[in-house]
Amino acid sequence: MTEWLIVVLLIVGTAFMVTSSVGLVRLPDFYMRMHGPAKAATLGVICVLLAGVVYFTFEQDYFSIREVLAIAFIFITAPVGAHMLTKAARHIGVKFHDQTRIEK
Amino acid sequence: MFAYLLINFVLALIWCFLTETFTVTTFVIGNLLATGVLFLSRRLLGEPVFFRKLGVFVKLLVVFTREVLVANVQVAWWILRPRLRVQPAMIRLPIALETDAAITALAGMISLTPGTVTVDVAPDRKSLEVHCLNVPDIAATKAGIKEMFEKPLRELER
Repeated sequence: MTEWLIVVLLIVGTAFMVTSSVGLVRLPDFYMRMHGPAKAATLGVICVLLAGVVYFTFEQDYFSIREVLAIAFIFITAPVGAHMLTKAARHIGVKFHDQTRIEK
Repeated sequence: MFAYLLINFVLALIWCFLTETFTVTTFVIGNLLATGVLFLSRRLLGEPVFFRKLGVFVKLLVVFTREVLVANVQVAWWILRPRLRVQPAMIRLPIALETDAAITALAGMISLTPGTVTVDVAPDRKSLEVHCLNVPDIAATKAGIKEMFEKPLRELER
């Protein structure tokens, strides 16, 4: 039972990471590509870490607080990273895709 | 608000001493018990604000988690569907938050929700610049963010 849960979490997690890499290739401009990795770092990594938590809690009888902490830190750092990169791009004037509607 | 949290932690610590087990589990249980005790004696302490805020906070957490999950699946679909059709937009979201902490929290939550990234805060702190991956309807997106994230935050900061 727990094995299945771990498998599902790992598959979902890696699926999201693959999706975000595909997004990195397919999306046309920098600002749009920024959305991909920021998301992989949230749901993808969190699913994989949760799989780890489940494995250690139920298979090894050891609750690892560090993995929960890692999830918390990813939640704090991921938006800051995405924000700073986009802000920097905006400042040095990276071009937007033609169809981007910009509100002043 | 802060005093309540402190009392909560102290009561939880006392619970740890009482049971003579110093583990994370005991501490968490202690915190839950302390919240229960404080809830029962809320009229004695004369500040019911805390529990209203706690309610708002829990609700915000639930809404946010749901939003992250839903939006993640949505963005995955936008990226993977055979014909790439996205309508990106750089929107200016007017905000009515006062404290830096609340603005930071809102910016962070917008960035964590897939499909939207906070780019900049206006110098007068009256609006946020948000880049969206795919928004057919700008007004609806703005209203959604305001309703889901900003309103609870405004209640929390008071």
